[in-house]
Amino acid sequence: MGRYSFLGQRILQTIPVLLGITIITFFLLRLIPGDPARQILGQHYTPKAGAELRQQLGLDEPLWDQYGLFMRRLAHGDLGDSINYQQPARTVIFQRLPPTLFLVAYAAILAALISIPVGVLSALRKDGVFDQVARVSFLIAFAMPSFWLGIIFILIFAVHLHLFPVNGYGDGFTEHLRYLFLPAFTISLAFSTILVRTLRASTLAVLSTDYVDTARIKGISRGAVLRRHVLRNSIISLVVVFGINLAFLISGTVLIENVFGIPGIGRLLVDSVSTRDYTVVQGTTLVLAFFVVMVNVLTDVVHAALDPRVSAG
Amino acid sequence: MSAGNPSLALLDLLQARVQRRNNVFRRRAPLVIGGVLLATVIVVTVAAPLITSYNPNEIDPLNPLAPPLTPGHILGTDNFGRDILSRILYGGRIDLLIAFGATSVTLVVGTAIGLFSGFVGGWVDATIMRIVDLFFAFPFFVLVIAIVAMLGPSILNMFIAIWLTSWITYARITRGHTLGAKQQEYVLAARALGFRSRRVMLRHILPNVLSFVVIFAMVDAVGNVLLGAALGFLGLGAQPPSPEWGVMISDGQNYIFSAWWLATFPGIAIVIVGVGFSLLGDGLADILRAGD
Repeated sequence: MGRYSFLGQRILQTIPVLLGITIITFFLLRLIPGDPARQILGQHYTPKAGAELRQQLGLDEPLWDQYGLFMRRLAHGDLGDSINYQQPARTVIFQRLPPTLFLVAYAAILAALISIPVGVLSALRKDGVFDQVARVSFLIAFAMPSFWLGIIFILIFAVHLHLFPVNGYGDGFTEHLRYLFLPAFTISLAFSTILVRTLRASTLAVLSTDYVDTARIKGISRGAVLRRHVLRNSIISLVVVFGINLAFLISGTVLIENVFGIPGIGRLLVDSVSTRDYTVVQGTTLVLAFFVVMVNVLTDVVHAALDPRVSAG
Repeated sequence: MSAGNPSLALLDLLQARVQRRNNVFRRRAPLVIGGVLLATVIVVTVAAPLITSYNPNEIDPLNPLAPPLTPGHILGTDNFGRDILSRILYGGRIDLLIAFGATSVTLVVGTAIGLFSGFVGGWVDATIMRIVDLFFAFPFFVLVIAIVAMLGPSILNMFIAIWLTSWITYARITRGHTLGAKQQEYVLAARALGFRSRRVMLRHILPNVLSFVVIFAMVDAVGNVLLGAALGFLGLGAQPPSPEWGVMISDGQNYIFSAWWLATFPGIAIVIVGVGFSLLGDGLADILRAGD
């Protein structure tokens, strides 16, 4: 199978997944107990507005037609209207997307910087002092609530040492880097607990392969073998693990935005729950799930480019 | 070497025995430490009234924000003068309930679905696995928040959201191992003997896949403790004035500039429970590997 048909097939595979996502998010609004129109409008409810909304959402129609309506709107990029912001939900959500994307990318980079050296060093000196210390530390880190760790970091690095701002997003790229360091670092620690475990295992597997032995016997230096074989394979496995756990990374970001007061999509989601802005909750869920699926396709393509064995099937 | 001298031979024997015991202990250490940690937490939360005489929600306006090691309040008091230690002990009941309640239900349901799916195969299996894939596409936490948002924030609705979404991993694990077990001789033999499908599934396959499920359940329990606390922290799970640990951290966040102990201690409690479950899972996995 060629590289392009691999890509084409991978994209075709996502279509049923994307359709399924729309079905689940469509049914979300139907979980609302009682009359959804009354719940959505809340204090804005009047019999007239209720009837209008019921008609707009097609609540009187059969379920299948309601879904058809939902899909036709979605095809035009219409996610419904936000009651709280009096704006299309799409506008509200996309305004809040940049800080979240920045934070996700920042945390992913920090996580790679932490977990590649730790994972590879642990594997090189398996059961050595470094390996033991790293394993115990990450065992504890895995059990730490990231929102709590974030508060502790604020306490130490922002309140006492004045190294970083307490919260917020800042203006411009360099300020974003400074404001988002603590939140990104918090997320990356939680993410690293997963990455390190996988990297250590995959590096151990590479170290025991015949081609590493062969390279050493040929007289290639230890450092060169590390660079050419071990590190390259580690980075490939990192890409795969990253793809698999992107959903986890997004979940962490949604939570941490609320600790550090970052005006991203996670803050929007939680705020919308308390203001009962159901269409925004529904739209946010849909956008994030689509994002995860798209990045997964991307990581598979990158994986295939880095490792020819993948597209060869 | 020491064969000629009986006392030296005995010494060798003793040394070997000590070493063996050390090895067994090393292998069992995570299991033992994890078990002891969790058992301690369960005992002190259940026996909370014997350990502390304070009511966790009792307000003491004369003693707000007393620092740790204050006489009578070893972990200090919060902004309402409520004793932090008492709140952590009583709150632990809620967090442990979340861990066991969320994990046990999804374990049973997910395992049953995975076992059935893998055993029956065909289009039933294909359909169930597509549904599982679908749920995996969502950021889990976001989906749970969305479901809680629609149902309304409360502990019960949090449970419903976790039950609806968390069975998928159990289903995937069980299904994979069921497919493997179906090819094994003991299953083929059981079927050749004419046993009913239900008996083959429950008596022959299930016991062999259960160990993998239980090991994952320990990791899942850590996840559920963190999830329950996170939802409490965001105001979407347990509601104030509940002493649930996430709610306590959320209350304490407003005082990090002046009173660090409010948010710090409940977090440490969560770490202890999480490490306990993690060690238990590691220990079980070690024993399973040693058994192979």
